[in-house]
Amino acid sequence: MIFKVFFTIFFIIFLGFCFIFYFDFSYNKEDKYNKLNSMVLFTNSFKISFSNAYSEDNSQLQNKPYLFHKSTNHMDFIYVK
Amino acid sequence: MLNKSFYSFLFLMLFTHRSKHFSIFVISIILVFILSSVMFISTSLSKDIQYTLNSQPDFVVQKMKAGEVIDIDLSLIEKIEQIYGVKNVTSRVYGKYFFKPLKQSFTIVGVDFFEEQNSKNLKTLSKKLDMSKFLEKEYMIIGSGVKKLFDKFKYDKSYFFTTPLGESIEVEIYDVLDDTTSLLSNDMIILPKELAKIVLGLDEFKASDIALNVPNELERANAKVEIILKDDNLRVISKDDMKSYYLNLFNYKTGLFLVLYIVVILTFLLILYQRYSMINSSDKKEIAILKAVGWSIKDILKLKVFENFLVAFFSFSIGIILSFIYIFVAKAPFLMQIFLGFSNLDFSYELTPYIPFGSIVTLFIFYVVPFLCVILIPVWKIATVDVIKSIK
Amino acid sequence: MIEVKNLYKIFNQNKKNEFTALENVSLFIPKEQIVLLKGVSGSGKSTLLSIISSLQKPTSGDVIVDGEHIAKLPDLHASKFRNEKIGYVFQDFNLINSLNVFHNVMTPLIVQNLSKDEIKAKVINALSLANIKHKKDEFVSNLSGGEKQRVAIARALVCDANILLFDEPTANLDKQNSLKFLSLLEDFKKLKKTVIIATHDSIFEQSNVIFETINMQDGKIV
Repeated sequence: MIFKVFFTIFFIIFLGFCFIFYFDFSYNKEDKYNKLNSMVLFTNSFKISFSNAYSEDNSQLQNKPYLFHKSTNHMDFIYVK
Repeated sequence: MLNKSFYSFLFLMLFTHRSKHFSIFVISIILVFILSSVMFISTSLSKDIQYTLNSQPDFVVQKMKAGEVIDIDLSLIEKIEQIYGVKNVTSRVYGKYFFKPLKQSFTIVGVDFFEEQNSKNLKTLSKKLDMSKFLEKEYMIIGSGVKKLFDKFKYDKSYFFTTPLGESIEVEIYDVLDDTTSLLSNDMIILPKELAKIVLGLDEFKASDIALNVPNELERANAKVEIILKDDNLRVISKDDMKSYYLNLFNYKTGLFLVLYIVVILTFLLILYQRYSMINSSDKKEIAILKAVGWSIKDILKLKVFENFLVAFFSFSIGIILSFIYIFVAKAPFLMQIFLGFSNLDFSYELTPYIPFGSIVTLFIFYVVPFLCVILIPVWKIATVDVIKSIK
Repeated sequence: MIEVKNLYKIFNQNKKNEFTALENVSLFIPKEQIVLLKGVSGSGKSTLLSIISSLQKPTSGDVIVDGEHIAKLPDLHASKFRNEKIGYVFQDFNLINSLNVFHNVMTPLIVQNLSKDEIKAKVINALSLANIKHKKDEFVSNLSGGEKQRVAIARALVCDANILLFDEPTANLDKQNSLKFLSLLEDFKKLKKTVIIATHDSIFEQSNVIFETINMQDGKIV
């Protein structure tokens, strides 16, 4: 009975790792990188749509690491009226 | 002494003490889960960014005024093209458009759809592209986050942009970019360049900035200097600046978690050590009994090491598997925000699965080795010094 | 046979709470005989037994068991000696409560390179000798005092050890079980075991298999 328990645990772990390797192998990375690269070439810029992204239109060139930050832009104010 | 009966006894003891090991097992899984999630997400994101950052233009030229970025004159393009080693000088049009109903901004990017390179790239991005039909009228291509918002507010086929001059322009949606590129395209609206200028309020002969390439690495420093000299108040940002920014960002985030790791693991090890050194523990008596019936210190240590190694190994494996599923299958709901910051719009990006074997092995060593050491010391102490005391 | 020469055991030597448990103890125990170590609590009987079984090392002196000097053996050899030659039955039995009778008796055999079948055969044999075979799958925590002692005896017999050491065997037993233990002594005699019993119980005076009684007081032989 004890062996059955441990064998089950080993087997679950084995299946888990098989799943991980299968998932990694079957994921179409090339297609994704092609699309991302096309995106960058198409828009001629690398813009990540998150607040921790590097913003070229910022007046300051400092690195801004922060955990949570809502990004706003001075252009927003034009439309508030 | 590594015979079959030893292994049977090992599993028997492990099973007998399952309730004692269970709490350690669960805490270990949680620890490994957190640490490996951080590891997976940071390596995956940095790989994605690394692979795509190279396609970004080498330099971006911006016009500054009183410390703020302003629109740049298109006449500068000709001047820059004269610089030796410079190629693909193009104007870029982009900006934020405020979506009143939700008080959120979209990123508008203007693209010259007629350019051959761009049509090639567009074909990769859009499956149902019919170039002739697409170029007939002024269409827009939107990101998946934008689409979700538009659907919510019933803008199914088109949207009315309000220009800074107060005009209303209707633009039809041609296609939606899928989640594969949502890291970049989630809040994006891609318009024809001239239309983008109108919507963003840019002058006909101006652009947001100018992008260019300098293929020869050795000429880059020179090119940068020459560009700056072409006009007053110009700022030149290089691709390397961006690369180092992202590298720092991930290193900083990873650094934060490293500190967390040290604190948490030390606490955990202290708890483990405490548990094993408990005076009234029946574990202590068991070790003394085994000693009394003829087990050597080496045998007892072997038993305990294997027993705890199995616990550590099981918890480590399950932690890794769960974190992999959390990050790459469930798309890391909370952790993504911590790494990339707050997202403008509802976001759904599939991280590219990447298994950093080196990091996993390192994590395993730095987890299992202290774990076993902390167990071994009290066990050795009991088996040598305290045998008679424990037996009474 | 067991020979003890000028044995000293001093705890916490050169410290404030220095305590001499054994002082110049010398004795000779012949083969296949049952010897009684008599003395009140604190007379040093348990310490002497633990030194003979190489569970503890003496401060000075020598112990020779079947020609082997065991007083200063390194741990690996001492453990092997204890495993193969000694069967120790403790006063409170010292069984592993979380395991059943079979697994408890099996523990000394794990360190010997035996097959599963060999181990099973030896354990069943020992359980039969100790008359506790019918409870082999029972958990030790569910047994009575007398039954626990028989399990401890089975564990002591399982490695075919020739020397059996008993530390206050009747201390935790009632009169009936104590008498049962006395009858066991005759079985040990038949099995040609060398037995040392450390006790202060007078019930052993009734037995006629006792070869010799050695009296101890304050760590010395009197």
